[in-house]
Amino acid sequence: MTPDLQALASLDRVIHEPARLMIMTVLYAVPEADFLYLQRECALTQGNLSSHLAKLEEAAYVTIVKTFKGKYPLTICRLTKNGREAFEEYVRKMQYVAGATANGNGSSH
Amino acid sequence: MANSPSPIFLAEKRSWSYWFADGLPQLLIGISAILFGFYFISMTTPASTALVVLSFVAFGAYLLIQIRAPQILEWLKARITYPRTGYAASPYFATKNNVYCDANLNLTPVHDPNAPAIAEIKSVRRARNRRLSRTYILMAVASLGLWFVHSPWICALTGIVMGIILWVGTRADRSVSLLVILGFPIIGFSVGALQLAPHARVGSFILGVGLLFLLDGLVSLVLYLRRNPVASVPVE
Repeated sequence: MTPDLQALASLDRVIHEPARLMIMTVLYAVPEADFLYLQRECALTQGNLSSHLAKLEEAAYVTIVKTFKGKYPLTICRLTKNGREAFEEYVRKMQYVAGATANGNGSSH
Repeated sequence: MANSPSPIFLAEKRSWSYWFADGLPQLLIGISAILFGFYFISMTTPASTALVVLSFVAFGAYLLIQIRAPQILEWLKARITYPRTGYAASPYFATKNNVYCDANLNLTPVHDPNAPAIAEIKSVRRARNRRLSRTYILMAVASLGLWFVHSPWICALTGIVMGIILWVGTRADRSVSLLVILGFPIIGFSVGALQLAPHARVGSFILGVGLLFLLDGLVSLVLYLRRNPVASVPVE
């Protein structure tokens, strides 16, 4: 494998999945959000969002806490330190790939 | 493509707009301005003892709203907004730095100036804070004319100037509606037409602004409730 392709091979597969990437992006921009807000932002079904959140929680990228705001039950999701760092690393790698493509580095032999 | 805003930036911007979508912050601003305006008018014009007592009650309520605004909003949103469209922590009350949480869910600021995505979020929030501070200061300066210029038509001019300041200062964030921006000159003209003494027109102007925000909040709330009927089945 050529060194310039190694960045692609080492992309975090947990984050790279489109639905999980959307969830991570929203949670990166917002300090915390609940299940319903994420569902609306990402346009995912309840089951789909649940399963992706479970995977992110399993990878210790997200913490999920069931709590109450008044009488309304909330499932609050937040990025963990690991999740934040993994997302930043992912963004850096993607920016490297995009930068290399924009500069024409990827097309030279 | 390189110049288009990133999804992170757009998600942050949407969460900011989301804070105002239900009209509750505008309602609270309106109520507190009405209370303060009422207090101001009754304190500066000769009135009965009952009215003085009432004005102190209004001032107490105004102070309470000022001190407890985040908690009051949270209480209202927990009953109106979160069951309908979900909860997202407001960037308005978030720390200036980005945060992560530890195992105990304690929020801790991140200090990593080299992280590009963080830098973007931080710069967006810093620029917004700067814009809002500048708008508040300019609005305060513009309002001085109501006190010190004797012509009653200064109210109309102040209303127009404040409307322009508000429009320029908030157009990037869209946190103030066109109704409020256009309402400022109308309030200015109305207060000017009443030919009031300087102290009375300041109070009347504040009262008018309060009514404007109250109207804006009510309109936003009604539209929000019509667009988002409460979910019949609780989610997750």
